[in-house]
Amino acid sequence: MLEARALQRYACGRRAPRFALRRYLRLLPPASAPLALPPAWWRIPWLAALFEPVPLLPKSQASREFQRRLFLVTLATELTPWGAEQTRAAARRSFASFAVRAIGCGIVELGLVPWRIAVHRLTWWPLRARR
Amino acid sequence: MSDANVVIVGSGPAGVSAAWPLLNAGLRVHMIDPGVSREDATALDGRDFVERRFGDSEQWRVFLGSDASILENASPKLQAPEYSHVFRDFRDRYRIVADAFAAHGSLAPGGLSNAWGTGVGAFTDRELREYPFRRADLLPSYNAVATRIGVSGSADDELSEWYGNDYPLQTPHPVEPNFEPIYARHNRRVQRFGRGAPGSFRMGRPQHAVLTEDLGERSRCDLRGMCMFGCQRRAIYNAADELTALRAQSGFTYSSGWFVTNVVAEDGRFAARAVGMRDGGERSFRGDRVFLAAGTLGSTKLALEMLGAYDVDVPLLTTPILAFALCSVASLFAPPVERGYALSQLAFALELVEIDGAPEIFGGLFPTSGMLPTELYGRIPLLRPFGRRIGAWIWPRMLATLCFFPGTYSRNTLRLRTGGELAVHGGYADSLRIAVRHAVRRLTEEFAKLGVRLLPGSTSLNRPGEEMHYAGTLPMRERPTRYETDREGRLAGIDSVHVVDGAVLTTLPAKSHTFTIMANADRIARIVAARTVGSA
Repeated sequence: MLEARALQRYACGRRAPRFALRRYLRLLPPASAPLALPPAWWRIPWLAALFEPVPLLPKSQASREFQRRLFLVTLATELTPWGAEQTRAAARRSFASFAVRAIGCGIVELGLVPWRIAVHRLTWWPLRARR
Repeated sequence: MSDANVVIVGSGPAGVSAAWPLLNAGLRVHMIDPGVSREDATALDGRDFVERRFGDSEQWRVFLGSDASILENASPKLQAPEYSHVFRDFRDRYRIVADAFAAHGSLAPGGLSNAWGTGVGAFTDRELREYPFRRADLLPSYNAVATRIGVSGSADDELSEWYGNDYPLQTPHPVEPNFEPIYARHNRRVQRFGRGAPGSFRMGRPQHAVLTEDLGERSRCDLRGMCMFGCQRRAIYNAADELTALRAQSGFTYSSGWFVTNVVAEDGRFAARAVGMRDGGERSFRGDRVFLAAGTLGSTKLALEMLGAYDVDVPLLTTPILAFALCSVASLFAPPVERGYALSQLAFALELVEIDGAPEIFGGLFPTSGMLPTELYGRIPLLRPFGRRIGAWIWPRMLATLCFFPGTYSRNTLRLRTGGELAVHGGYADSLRIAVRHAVRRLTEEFAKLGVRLLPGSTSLNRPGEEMHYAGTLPMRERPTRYETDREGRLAGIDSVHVVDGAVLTTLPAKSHTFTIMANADRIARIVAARTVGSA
């Protein structure tokens, strides 16, 4: 899934730190998944736009641009049969399984609060205009 | 040059509804619209929502299209590529400058009905109390419009009288499994305590301009779940579908591809001056009378230009929408629903008796089965992978709710500038915050009785104008003053120009207003037809 990884890299900024990339790579399918991105995705304007050079933006805009690109990556993978199947599988989990996962996610999230701030800053940093 | 009795500017629901009574009376009608149509072929091919999601590797063509900027729109229908042409060029052509307001309109045949949410409901006498006529005056028109467009809904439940059940109704759609326990519980409460008195919390099946029985060339809904992204069976009403039938009438002329820039008096008659959408050529469409049905924003601009009302603020009514998510305890343990009818399944009405004037609010409960779960992912305050996993589980079990507040809470203004721009400024009354607080409290209590919980942090108020319920810029009055119209939609001092769309609604209740716009256009056309035929 070379294109998927490249997409991630551009979505996160060319010089995004590795741990941030790993974090977002979890949104993407394994290399064996046949329909990870729409076919001929490079001809889809909004998807191809993610591969355009990362602009240098003021701080506030850089953060917004980062979130926008991240949302489009999520959408690109969701809008495939693979994404739909993943969503269906998650939706069909039992309430008990969901509750355990939700509590687990909550604990991890709480632990990650300081990291989230750091990750957020580091991920929009490559998009930010330097003086 | 045309020699029509009536020139109708616009081919939306109001224009089409006005055309029928005129034609039935034997008058000659000339309808003009800009005729903006789609340039690319439709991506719809009859597959239903689930088939599309799990089997189409190019589903982005139907769900997003090639322009990701449409994601900025809040309404799912505004985001659907199938409807993107509907809104194209509108703001540029009318030179609309919007401030804190989502100004939408349509230059397409059929106007905004192309992307109508299909909510139907006749105004009650209470809702018409500031109008210069009563409900009885509108009833023949409600009947005519309902017969023509096909309305599905229950004729006998707690809300049916409030909606109106004295016009033809097709059977309602089946209730989706997620909603069945809620509705059953509500019905048990009704059996035990009796039907809710006017003002109390009442719940019933919504009325929609969606067919459950075949009607003419249109086929009934077969629950494909594509309501938000385009209905190929034409089960959802669209005024453009009526143009074929209108064109078959002998007295009807249809000119598409003309954008009306102004209406002027010419040699004792009135003319709509238009420019060609393709070549920019100019043409005048003359008639004894002109009906303005270009949509509230379009018609108001034409009317203000006629009156020479530059740099004057006129009010623009909209219905604020509070969106929130509900989750029932039963649905947490039930298998997720993937397929069904994607428009509202249940409706409710409630008076906020704690507030002066006891404003009535109205809402609908929507399933999520016909929408993309990505709508939710971004709202979950967790890292995206976690948010996605949790969101995917909650999404099919969630009920999306839209709650409409009456137009009295809107504080929008519309101003025609000297340079020709139409400036729209959006805003809400300060009292809306109090009303929202009361509404959330009351609805939380009422839904809790039905086993449904409001998801914490899920409430959000829309930006003014996003719901596209625009009205009341040139309100009808018994004794109209400047910038108002009489009971026939005539501008003060101008006898032969009638405004027949949402611009002339006197007030805007929370209830869906499109059905009343259509009925009012029909009513005005009947009066004009009777007078014209009588004097001939």
